[in-house]
Amino acid sequence: MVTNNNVLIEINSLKKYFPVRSGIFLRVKKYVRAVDGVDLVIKRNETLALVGESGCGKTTIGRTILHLTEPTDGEVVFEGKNLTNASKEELMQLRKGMQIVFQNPYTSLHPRKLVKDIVGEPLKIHTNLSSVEILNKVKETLESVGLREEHMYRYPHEFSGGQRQRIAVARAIILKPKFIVLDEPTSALDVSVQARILNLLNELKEELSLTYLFITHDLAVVDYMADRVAVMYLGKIVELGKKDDIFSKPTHPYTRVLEAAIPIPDPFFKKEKILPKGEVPDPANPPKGCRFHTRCDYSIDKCEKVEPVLENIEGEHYVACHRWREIYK
Amino acid sequence: MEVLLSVKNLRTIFHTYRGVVKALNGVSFDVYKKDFLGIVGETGCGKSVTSLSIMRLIEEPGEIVEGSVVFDGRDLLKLSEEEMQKVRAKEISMIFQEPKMALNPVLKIGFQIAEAISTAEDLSIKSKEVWEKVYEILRAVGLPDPESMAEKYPHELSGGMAQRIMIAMGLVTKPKLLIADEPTSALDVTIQAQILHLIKELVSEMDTTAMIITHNLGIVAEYCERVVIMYAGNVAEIGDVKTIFKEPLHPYTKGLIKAVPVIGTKGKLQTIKGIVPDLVNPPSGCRFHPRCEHAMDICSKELPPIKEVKTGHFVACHLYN
Repeated sequence: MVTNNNVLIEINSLKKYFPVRSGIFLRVKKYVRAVDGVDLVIKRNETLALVGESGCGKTTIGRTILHLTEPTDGEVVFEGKNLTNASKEELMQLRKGMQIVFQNPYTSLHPRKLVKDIVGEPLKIHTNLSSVEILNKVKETLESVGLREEHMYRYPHEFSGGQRQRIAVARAIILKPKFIVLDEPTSALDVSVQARILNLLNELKEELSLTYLFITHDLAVVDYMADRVAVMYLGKIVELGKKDDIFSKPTHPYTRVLEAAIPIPDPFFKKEKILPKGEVPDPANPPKGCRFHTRCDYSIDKCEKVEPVLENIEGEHYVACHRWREIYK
Repeated sequence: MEVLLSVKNLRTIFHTYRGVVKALNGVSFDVYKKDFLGIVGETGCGKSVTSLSIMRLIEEPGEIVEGSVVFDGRDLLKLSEEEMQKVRAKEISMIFQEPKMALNPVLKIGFQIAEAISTAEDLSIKSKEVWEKVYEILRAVGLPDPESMAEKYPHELSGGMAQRIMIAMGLVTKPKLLIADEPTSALDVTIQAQILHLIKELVSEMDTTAMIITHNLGIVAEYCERVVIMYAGNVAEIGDVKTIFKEPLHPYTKGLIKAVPVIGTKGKLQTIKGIVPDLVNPPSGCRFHPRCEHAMDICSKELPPIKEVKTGHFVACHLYN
């Protein structure tokens, strides 16, 4: 792939295997292939949604992009710089530009630190600002996420879930990063709170021209937030496209199953009635050929033997399925 | 429609070190025969406490202080513990959120189902009749090879399979009412769809009644026929699902529906101002009034009674008085 100015992050055949140890000598008996060869480009100022069920590797991708976990193989290029062979100092520099907001705001904030220290910590690590300057910055940032100055001197347990997630967002944006991984940022929150956090994230994206990787399993949230969508199944991307491609012309059988399975809060919404078959296989021992073939209605002999690769349908719409031509409308 | 279960003015409180949590503040609603009713609300609205109160499973420091739960002509709150055991064994079944925690880890699942049957029908747990029923229900909940399945322990099952076992156990006694408390919140979306389909199918096949407790408006919209919307220990609105989504009346219901993104939402999501109140110190009058755009003087003084505004559409709001 050619690196051009439009591209913020390029991921090339990224792999992350987690060893499974067992037996009395704790030998590595097998690997869970959480991410198994993913190519992905994240463009500047877009929100790319990563969708899939638990265990499909979506969280691992987010963490591996930031090198919070070292990839087993493959590379991540951020603004033309390869993170995989960057030195510690270089990585430190690059990390200023990329941040993460975790799913559970009840566990991602240090319980015994004041909010001012939680939000100000990135500044302490990455800049030489004086403590007064840091305090001013923290105050400013808290205000931009809808919190007030007096909140600086409180502990996380004094806040509701939604407010805690605002604190986590403040910590992520204080260094003015270019890229933020949002790992299910609203899954632990109630719907009325979720709406406010989603609106806040959209406002901040405009204001600070951010790029988001939005990891979620809620398709309605995807529809509301995303520009493009990548659907993952067992460590692989099975379909990738603009939001409208994925919603109006879902092509991979898994995407269609997923869309049919996710309940839509609208009793008048008409959708395909497909009942998913079977359960998600063990990622340590994924099926041969196409990983979805054990649960797929379209499965043929070829699917059991040959692993499909991502093929272009049209425009920016890609799918990894041997039979997409028959399915695509 | 024939009423199967009638909850009237139910009040349940919890004594905590912070003070008394007024979890249910006079909850009233009816469940009709063959209903597929959803009870929906945000964290702390009292939806789970409602179901536990109906089953009389509220333990110390909780207490049911007022109200009645009339089920099939009897007030469950007045039954002796022994009589209530019989109701739990045979007439009302419950499915919980974490199937693996609800199953006994050291007993084979076949035995656990057999136990449910033998308790409900007063049969010996070793009788052939009981085990035939075990295999039959295992097949009915979509588990292949019931004989070997019955020999498994809970840790050998996936979450989806464990929930199927719970459904089997709940429905094998042919209860008059099935209460499912967040039955799929711990499961993946494709498994969730399978489980909800299964519940719906079996409930209609067995001609019985179900009450699904959930926080997910999507599940309500897709699977339920009627819905009870709860807020901070009160029922806000009751009606059939299509009416509630199309013409919600209560300001909270309106806000809730607009706050959830649906496919095709354009522009900004609407939000409800403020946060859910602390039930140790709930707001006076209507508990929603501090967050309500239409709050009037009376709202902070009097709790609005629940009123039938149109046939089958109930709302508890002073705007409709």
